[in-house]
Amino acid sequence: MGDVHTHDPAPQSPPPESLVAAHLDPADRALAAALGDDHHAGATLTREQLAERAGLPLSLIEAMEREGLLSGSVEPADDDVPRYGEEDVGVLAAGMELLQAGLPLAELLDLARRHDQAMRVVADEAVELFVRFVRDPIVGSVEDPLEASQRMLDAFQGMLPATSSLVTHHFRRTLLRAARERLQASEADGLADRE
Amino acid sequence: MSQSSPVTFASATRPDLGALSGSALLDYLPTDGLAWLHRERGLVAWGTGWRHDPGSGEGRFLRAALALHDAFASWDGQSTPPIALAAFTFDPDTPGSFVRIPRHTLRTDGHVAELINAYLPDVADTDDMKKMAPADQPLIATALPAQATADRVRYAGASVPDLLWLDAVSAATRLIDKGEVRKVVLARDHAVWSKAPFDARVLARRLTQRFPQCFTFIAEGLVGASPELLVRRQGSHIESLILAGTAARGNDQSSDAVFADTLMTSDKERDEHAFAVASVRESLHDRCSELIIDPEPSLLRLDNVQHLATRVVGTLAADSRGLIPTALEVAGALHPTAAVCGTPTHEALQVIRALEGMDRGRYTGPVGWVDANGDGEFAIALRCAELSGARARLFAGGGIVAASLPEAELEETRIKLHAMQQAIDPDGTT
Repeated sequence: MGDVHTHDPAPQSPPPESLVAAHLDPADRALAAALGDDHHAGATLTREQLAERAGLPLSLIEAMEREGLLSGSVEPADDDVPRYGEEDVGVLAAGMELLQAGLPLAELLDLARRHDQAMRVVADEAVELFVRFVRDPIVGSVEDPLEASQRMLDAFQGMLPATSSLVTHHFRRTLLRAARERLQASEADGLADRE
Repeated sequence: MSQSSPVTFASATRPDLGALSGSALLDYLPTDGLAWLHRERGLVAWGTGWRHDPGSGEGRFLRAALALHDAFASWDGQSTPPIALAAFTFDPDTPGSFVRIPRHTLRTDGHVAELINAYLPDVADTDDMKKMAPADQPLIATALPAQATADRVRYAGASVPDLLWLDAVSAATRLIDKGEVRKVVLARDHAVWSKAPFDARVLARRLTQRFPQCFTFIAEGLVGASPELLVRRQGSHIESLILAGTAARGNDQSSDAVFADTLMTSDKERDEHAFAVASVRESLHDRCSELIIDPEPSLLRLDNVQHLATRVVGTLAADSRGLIPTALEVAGALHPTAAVCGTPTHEALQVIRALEGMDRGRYTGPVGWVDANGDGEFAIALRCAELSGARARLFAGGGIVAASLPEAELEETRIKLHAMQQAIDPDGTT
């Protein structure tokens, strides 16, 4: 039925060459190459191979692609077949862990969609901060485009794992706090099971 | 199967109860009763005057109609026509259907209440009420409990895990692509349990409040509020409402309008709807001297979803016996519609049996009432739960056509289940 949720599916990652186009500012070229590489390296599995590795039905892989929760690298030379890597296998294994614990897929997908939409907003703002406070000052103060390009790449390569670390730790703490608060609330209501 | 002695009927109006509106009747119902409620009209019923199990197989509707015809034969034709309630399983091969003339039926048209009693004299019975005239029988209203169950509602699993249901929908779309079937409805369930039994009456009252335009029913454990009128028959006049094609409601007026517009213009939803309309036309065409079907679907808004809707009205023609078919017989002719089974009907049923992985029971079967004149109302049992003591089994399904996306169908069923989950557990999230 299609329109229960308004959700634009993420495009498949374009090959790095298309980013390094003639109109790109030379200062951005190294960064552009690094952004493309992030997914490309080591991605060799087809959807079917990914499904088999993960022990999940192909229909789920296809659904997650449509939802933008999974996206493979695509090369025109490879007939635009999406390719997946070990990181994607890891993502699916994590999802399987939740399903096997008993979470229904429908609820998990609903939560994943809402998480995705929330994260996109934050990600867009984080990119905006990078542009305003890292990129623009570099481009504005460094004359040599190659040097500017290298400085931007260095900044990106330091900031990406730092950002991931902050977000991961923050979410973990937030999740544990939510669980503690829920437990305290149910004890207060006298609803905790005494089995 | 004709019984050895005739059913005895007696009825009386009950002005002492005042102007009762439909859901107010629930206060008079014992916990294990029956009900059929629609806006200000309705009935509640309890006890068994006469009951028939039509068995399984294609002949079950005919068996039920014949047996009921015999049971009503002793009605004098003058007094208020007695009523039978019935519910049928979706799959003809599945047992569990019934037709029942209750011992006591209390009905209202919104103004005047009426009690209709029925019993078999040869049944050994010490019940004094049998000897009491319906005009004098004490009827006490007791306030219903506030909660559907006295304990917390907990998730009890599903017949088919979501992941496998998603895969089944994907398999169905492949069959559709191969041309083996054009539309198939796939359903799934969601069970909950509590430490205290579920009270059907509390659930029914919540459903009448939340879905006033739906037909709320309690039929031997099957409780629900269906918007889908399969057939209403008054004399030779019949009505039906075809619902197929679903969208969510928006949180505000503008998103609601967007969802509605998308629904009305979606090829996938319009195709799904067109199959349902065609199946009804095919079932009724030969039985009616006149049949009028809305040329274009309109929008039906419920609390949590909106549907494409097509209204049907018609005039039944006399059959080979010279009789106008009863509401029960018309319901049997219409079932299963493409809205709950698929197109073509037989192939879709085979796909459901192969892929769905569960027994629907009476979910998506006809449920309703028919009286001794043959008038009645049947709905398709949707938005319902099978209550069984302290356990409830909820259902939801979606129509799969060529353009269906499995994850979208999964999400649609999650939203449909939510309606009944909220009725059972308004504060919780099971």
